[in-house]
Amino acid sequence: MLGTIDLREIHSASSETEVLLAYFQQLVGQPFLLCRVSYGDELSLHFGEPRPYRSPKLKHLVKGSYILGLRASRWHLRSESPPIVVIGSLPDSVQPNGSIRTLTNRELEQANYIQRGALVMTANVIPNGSGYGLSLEFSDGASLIAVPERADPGETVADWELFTPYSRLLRVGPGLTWEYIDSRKPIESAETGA
Amino acid sequence: MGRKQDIREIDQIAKQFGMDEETRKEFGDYIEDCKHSGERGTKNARGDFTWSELEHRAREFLGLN
Repeated sequence: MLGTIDLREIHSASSETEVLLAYFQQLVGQPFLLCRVSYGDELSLHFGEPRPYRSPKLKHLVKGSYILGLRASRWHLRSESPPIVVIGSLPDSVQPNGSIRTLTNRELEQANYIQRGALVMTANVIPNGSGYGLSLEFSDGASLIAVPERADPGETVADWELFTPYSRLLRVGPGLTWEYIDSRKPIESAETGA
Repeated sequence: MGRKQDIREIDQIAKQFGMDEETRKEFGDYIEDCKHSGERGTKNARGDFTWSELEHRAREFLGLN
């Protein structure tokens, strides 16, 4: 059976992996713009058209029409040139040596491990026992994989999220649930019904 | 991986001040931008913000001061 989804419409909480995968496909073909680390060491990847922030407090920055936030997920970013793997959460037990070195948030933001303008070639979701992971492949050979960390009962922080230019937020996790909601309604009363 | 407790606090502040999701996202970027520009919090050596400092920053961010 064939089907379509309208990326402008909201979708209530679901565990349908195939539909989540379909929503995530809107990132395919988008050019990479920049990465930025938000408060709490949350990595955000910006794609699509550069846009000004809505807040005048951030008028000196630009953001992407798509923003992927890796909230409560462990991640690895592989760069093709230079051939480097960035570890999103280097364990304290691992000591820097010849092949392993530490990286600051600012260094990560400025390193161009994904080349600006590189296109998203594939976007996949990876269900496992604790939630949905994701993977991205870029036209410059870079790739990203993110896996949700274990969530405690009652956890509210999403594993990852995607802001879209349709004023919609694809919110994934915790656990094997996701929703596609209005990103411009106050959080407390955000409508989630399809 | 982000520090979940800090991310959770941003979410809670956003909810307290009636922000939408896009504004919540921008608020997280604003707080980190404050740290980059030297306006650090007093919570720890990383310059993170206490709850009351986050509330103050939220009012500042939203132009409520």
